[in-house]
Amino acid sequence: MGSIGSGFEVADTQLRKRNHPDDNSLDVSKIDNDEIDFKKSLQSNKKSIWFTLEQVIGPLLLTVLSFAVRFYEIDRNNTVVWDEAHFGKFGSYYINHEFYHDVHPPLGKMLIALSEWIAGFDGDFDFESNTKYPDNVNFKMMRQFNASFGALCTPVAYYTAKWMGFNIYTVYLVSLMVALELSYIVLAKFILLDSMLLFFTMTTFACMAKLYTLRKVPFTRKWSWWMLITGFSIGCVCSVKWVGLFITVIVGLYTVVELWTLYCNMKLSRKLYYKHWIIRIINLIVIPFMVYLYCFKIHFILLYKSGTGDASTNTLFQINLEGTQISNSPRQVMYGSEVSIRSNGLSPNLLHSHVQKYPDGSKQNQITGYGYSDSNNGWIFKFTRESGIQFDSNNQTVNEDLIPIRDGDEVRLLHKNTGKNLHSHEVPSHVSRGNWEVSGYGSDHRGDQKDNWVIEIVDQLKSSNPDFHDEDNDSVHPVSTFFRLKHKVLGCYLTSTGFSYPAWGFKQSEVVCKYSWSTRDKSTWWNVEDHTNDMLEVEDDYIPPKSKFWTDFILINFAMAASNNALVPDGDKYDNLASDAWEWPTLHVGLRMCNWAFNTYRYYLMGSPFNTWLSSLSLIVMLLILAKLSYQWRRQQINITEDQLWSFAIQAVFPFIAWLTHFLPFVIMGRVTYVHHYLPALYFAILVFAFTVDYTLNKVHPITRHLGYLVLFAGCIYTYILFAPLCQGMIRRDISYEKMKWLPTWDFQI
Amino acid sequence: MAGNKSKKGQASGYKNGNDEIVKLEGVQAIDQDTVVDFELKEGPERPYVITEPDAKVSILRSISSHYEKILLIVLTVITLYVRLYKLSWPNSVVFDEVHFGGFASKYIKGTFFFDVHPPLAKMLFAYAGSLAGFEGDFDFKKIGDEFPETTPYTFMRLFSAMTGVITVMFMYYTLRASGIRVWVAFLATVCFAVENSFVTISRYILLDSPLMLFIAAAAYSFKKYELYQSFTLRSYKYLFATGIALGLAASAKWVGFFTIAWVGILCALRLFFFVGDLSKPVSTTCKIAVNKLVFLLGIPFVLYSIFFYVHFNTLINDGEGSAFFTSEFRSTLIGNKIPKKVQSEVGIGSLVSIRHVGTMGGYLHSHKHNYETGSKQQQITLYSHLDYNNNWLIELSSRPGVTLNTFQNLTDGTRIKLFHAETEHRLHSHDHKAPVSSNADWQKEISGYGYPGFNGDGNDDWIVEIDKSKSAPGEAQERVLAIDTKFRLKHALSGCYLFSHKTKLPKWGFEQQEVSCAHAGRPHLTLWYIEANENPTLPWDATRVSYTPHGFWKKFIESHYRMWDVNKGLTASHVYQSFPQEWPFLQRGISYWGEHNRQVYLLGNAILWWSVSMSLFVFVLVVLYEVVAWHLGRPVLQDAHVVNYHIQFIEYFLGYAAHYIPSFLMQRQMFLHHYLPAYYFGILAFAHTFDFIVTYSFRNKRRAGVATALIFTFVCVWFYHNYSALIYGSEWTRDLCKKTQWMDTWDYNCNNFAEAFSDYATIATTTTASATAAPTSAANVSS
Repeated sequence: MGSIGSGFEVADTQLRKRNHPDDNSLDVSKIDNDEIDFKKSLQSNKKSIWFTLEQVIGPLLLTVLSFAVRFYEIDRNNTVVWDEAHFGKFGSYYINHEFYHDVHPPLGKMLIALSEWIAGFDGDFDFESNTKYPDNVNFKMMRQFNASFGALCTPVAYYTAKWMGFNIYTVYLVSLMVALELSYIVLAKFILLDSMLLFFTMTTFACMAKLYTLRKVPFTRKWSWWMLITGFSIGCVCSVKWVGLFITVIVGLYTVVELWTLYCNMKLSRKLYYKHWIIRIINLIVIPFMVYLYCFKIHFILLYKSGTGDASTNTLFQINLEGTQISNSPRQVMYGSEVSIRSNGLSPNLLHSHVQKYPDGSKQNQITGYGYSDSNNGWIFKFTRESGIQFDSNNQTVNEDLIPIRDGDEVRLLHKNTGKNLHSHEVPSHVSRGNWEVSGYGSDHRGDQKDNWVIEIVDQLKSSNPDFHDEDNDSVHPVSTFFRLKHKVLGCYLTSTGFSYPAWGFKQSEVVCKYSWSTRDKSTWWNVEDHTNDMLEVEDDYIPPKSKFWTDFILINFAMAASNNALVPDGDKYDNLASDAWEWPTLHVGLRMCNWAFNTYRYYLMGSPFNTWLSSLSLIVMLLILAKLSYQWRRQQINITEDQLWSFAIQAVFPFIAWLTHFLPFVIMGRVTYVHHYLPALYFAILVFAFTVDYTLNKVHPITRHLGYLVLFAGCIYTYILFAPLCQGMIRRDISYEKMKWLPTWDFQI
Repeated sequence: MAGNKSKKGQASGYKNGNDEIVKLEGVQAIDQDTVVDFELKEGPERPYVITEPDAKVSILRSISSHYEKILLIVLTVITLYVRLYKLSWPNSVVFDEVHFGGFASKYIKGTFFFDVHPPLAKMLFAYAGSLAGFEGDFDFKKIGDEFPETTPYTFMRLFSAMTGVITVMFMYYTLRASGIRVWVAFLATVCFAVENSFVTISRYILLDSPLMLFIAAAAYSFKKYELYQSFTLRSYKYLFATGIALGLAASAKWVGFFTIAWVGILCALRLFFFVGDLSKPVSTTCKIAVNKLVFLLGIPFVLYSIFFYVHFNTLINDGEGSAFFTSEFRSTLIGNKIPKKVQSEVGIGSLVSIRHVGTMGGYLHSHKHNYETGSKQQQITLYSHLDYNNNWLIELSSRPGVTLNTFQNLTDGTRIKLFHAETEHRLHSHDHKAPVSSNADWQKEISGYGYPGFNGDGNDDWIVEIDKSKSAPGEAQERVLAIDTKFRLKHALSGCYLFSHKTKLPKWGFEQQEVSCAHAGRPHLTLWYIEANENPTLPWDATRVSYTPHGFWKKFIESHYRMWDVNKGLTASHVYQSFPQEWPFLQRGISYWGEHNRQVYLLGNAILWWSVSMSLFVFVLVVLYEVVAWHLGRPVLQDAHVVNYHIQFIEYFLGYAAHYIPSFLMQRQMFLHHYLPAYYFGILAFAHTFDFIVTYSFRNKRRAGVATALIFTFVCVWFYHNYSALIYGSEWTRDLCKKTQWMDTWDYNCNNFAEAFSDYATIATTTTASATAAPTSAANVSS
């Protein structure tokens, strides 16, 4: 069985044949021709007036239809529906400029804010779920703005299908399916991120299809433009939701295949080859990243006031917000001062302790990191017992002098409310591995050497007020001094790991003693946030240093990831809105989007049975076609040219993989999943369906073919008409609702 | 390529097996090349490979010459010596013998137990024990327990060791079948025979050694099967043998399913080449595929079921392990205490026990202890054992404390109170946080409330809701019948449902299962049914009902659910656990035993171990390079030896991957010995690299090749010898030991050994002397 060697060798001769294309690149018009239609089908080959007209009028009509079904009585339900409660509210934070924290990147929510601004919203409504919109809130316009993204999906689908090389009927079928897809319509009607996400996902795939048509004419002006647009589109989709990374993977995969083919093309000079690389790196990596970055830049500029999200950020960021919760304080931290201490790592929480004990390990008091202000964040600097220094009776001074905390000092930190010392010992940490536990131990008078910590100042920031430029660099100042706390006995550093404790630790973040690999390890950096010492004067004219954009950017992204990971469902809780991934392609369930009262307009989120079932079926059919073609190829019954291979890849393989990447993560990951997570995947399933239709109907007699398309168009429209009440709103009871109940699990009936 | 109709692969640079078969003798016989050129034919588009093997191959790769037979005897003797040396030492329980020895004693006594592994290997040990007269009177309680006279542990270990010896033989035959010449196969197998970790596991009563035997047998038979032309008697014979071996492997440990997957992948690969072979009609390919399906899936399934059948029929007495199972299952065991023939009709005034459907937690329970949280009233828990504290009296909510003279059924909507007769408290719920799930705002506390003479309040009222779809068809859906009706209890005032889930109360709740009142509980967790049921107003001849005992298949399926759940739940960390990414580097071993200043520590033969990891890694790089080079138009070497090396290596590499990659997906605690099946395939693959280097790379410098091979083998043996004290638990000194700790992470404690060999004269070996670092066993299946 020497198959491997011979297989390679055989294909090799073929490859060499392939590497000698008769001619290429220059005759652009000719390529334009087969770019539009690789298959030998229909009128599109002739560049007639009819053809040009069709290219404009067709998508235009479809777009009008698409707008019509989405705008139709969009304000029927005048209450806050579904997640409008979240996203409408996030929009209003931008109007009010209040800083907030959320799991999604800002672009989509900023667009919502834009729509609210256009609608003249004054930020004075807090989008409480199920409440009626007040008269002065023009929610109709906000919804229409969002619906436009949904409606514009249709022309995008039209051009995508065209560029993928489907015949004209298939192109219209795909566009119509997208225009009349129930779940797309119903989600477009409200102030949500899903339509934007879908729109940018579709534009990204469209760009990829366009690049595919242009692949033989690289470095032309048109090609360069589309490269740029692709990058921009990737940037947008990733800035709406992180789910955008899935379509980015697809474009990445396409690029890898393309670069690999170019690499194997020995006629291509290496210089030109590297040019291919550089252009792609700039357009497909740098540009998207810049878009993403700028979204956050605008986000920070817009949200300059203190708000609900403060607790997820570090001291410098918070103190620079207007109306910050952190008050000015005396500038010199002394022994006897009461302070709160915030970490500078990726989980910037305040050092916290409470009466609850560790359930195992030392079973002493828990030490955690907690973002919000709380009386349990208070710590008092004390002298070590070994130093022998005693406070005067006021517990503040020694011989009536205040003594500052200086670099290299050995200190003891006493938790104000519980009276325990910050302590560490050779007991393994509870969540992370290889670190020591930190606990609250003993009391002010009782304890041992393991209560002692060494202050190591690592950075001092300067205030923009010149009056404060001569502050002592060797002592600790609130806000501007960063220090590390080294354990005197073990030599490890107090660290915020970024992990969370389980329920017994109230999901607060883990604090340990870690042997640090570098002084630059920010997770071991701390700073004093609040500082009170009634022997000292508060210095009100202190201006804190500015925070750095990069630090804020990285922190906010980690905070998003952390909140995302925290969205773990309670396995024993029954959530009637959540559904499992397998229920989406089978259309097992839908979702009630609003209050299900008799006299209100009720919206039910569910895919169109026509689109969903046929597209799910086509995923299997596509695999069968793939199996059949590879069988025929192995038996040497057909010969596949490189162009045919590309065409098959772009029409069938890439949409299929795109479906997988948009579907499988939801099967695997542990977080709560909902029906609307299937939206992007459904689009790719529809594209796979388009391929199977195109492939099979191209092979049959023209009469059968036309009949086939006729049935499909009719089916699509009929399904929409039958199920329209689901997405256009149902009210009271109606005979037509009875007819829609095809499955007992569809619970839209009242 | 074009031109001649049929063509052989390129002639290689040196003599190969193409010449007519002549019976060779002497050195030539053990240096006979067994690789044959493959055949290409010209197709309409491109040439293709003939997939049927040459008839010569099977002859070349079978044992025939006397010289080879002598070598085989030498190999057997070496292996027997290495594997059987001082088997009776340690004379106390080592590592997981705690479990598997214990299981053996339970098989012999017929006491039901529960374990995460399928039964075959455990039953074999039990059989070995009973052959030697073991009566199950020693229970292998903890590591280091000395064996009494009556326990034939040496014989049981002998069984394990013999499977190890046969595994070594199988490796030799497998290597021969995949085309390695005799002397190279011999040396490679010697390296395997002295592989420290395999020697260690094959000395003790552990499942790994029989498992390795079955995996090795499967690999051998499948390799052999590939050598014969389709539909010949021999090919059927080996296909059948593969099926049997796979079945045995899967019945020993679930790892065997990865072996089945490996064979499946190889079949799929071959199918790909069969389809491309135009000389092979499609009908033949289909026939082969059907044969493989039947033999390679059908036989293992039948065997697997048979062993479970034997398992169930051996363990007929009720035992501790049965608490994992449903009452239907438990009622098949002799001596079970599951209520039988209980009154069917449930009504007001019935004294009942209420069992939870969604978990194996057991019965609604209360006792004279209070919560330490929330209301601090009396605890309500779920308790898995039968107990009078599980008894509840059903009262009509409007007439508590009143005994009715007539019988009144419970139907959908009946409003009741549940009176705990032992403590005179009623089942109660109120607005307090649940004791453990205090963060879940959808759960409320359930408590026992009341005192003698008190008739309860509104918070004691519960409404019966029958779940028709879950109840037995018929009357059980209309009114509550014991066992047959599944129902929910809705708290009348707040609307939440009586609920329990797999969350344990702390020590003050005796680690029984938490019960709470859920506003949004998963439906199956709020479902209950009546088990014990007694009502004085019913006539003596009232209808009675019992559980329908499970038949074999239901027991089979239920066992698998439990095994899966428990296996998934083995996530607690263990002192000697390790992680899959550490295994190829041999970062850490496992301490198996440590007594009398001696130790047994599972550690691989680092020389062979690292060579295997290295060769796998380098091979991947080389293949990547070759693929790129081929794409750039470089011709691929077509020498039959190079091709055979690639094919065999890839096939074994797939075996390695199939046994290794799944470990990354598993959440449970992992140990070094989980790597051994993958490692076995790694050794097979490495043997081909070894062969390729010493016979092909050095084809013009034969002496250098032989010398390299001998040196490598010698170094492996040297390593084995240096570390043998850790295998056999024999005498060693601190200094010698410290010299061997090449890595800090090889954490056997050298200070446990004596300073000098002479000190051992004073150390007793029969009674437990100085206890050293106590190892703990791996599979923490508690009963």
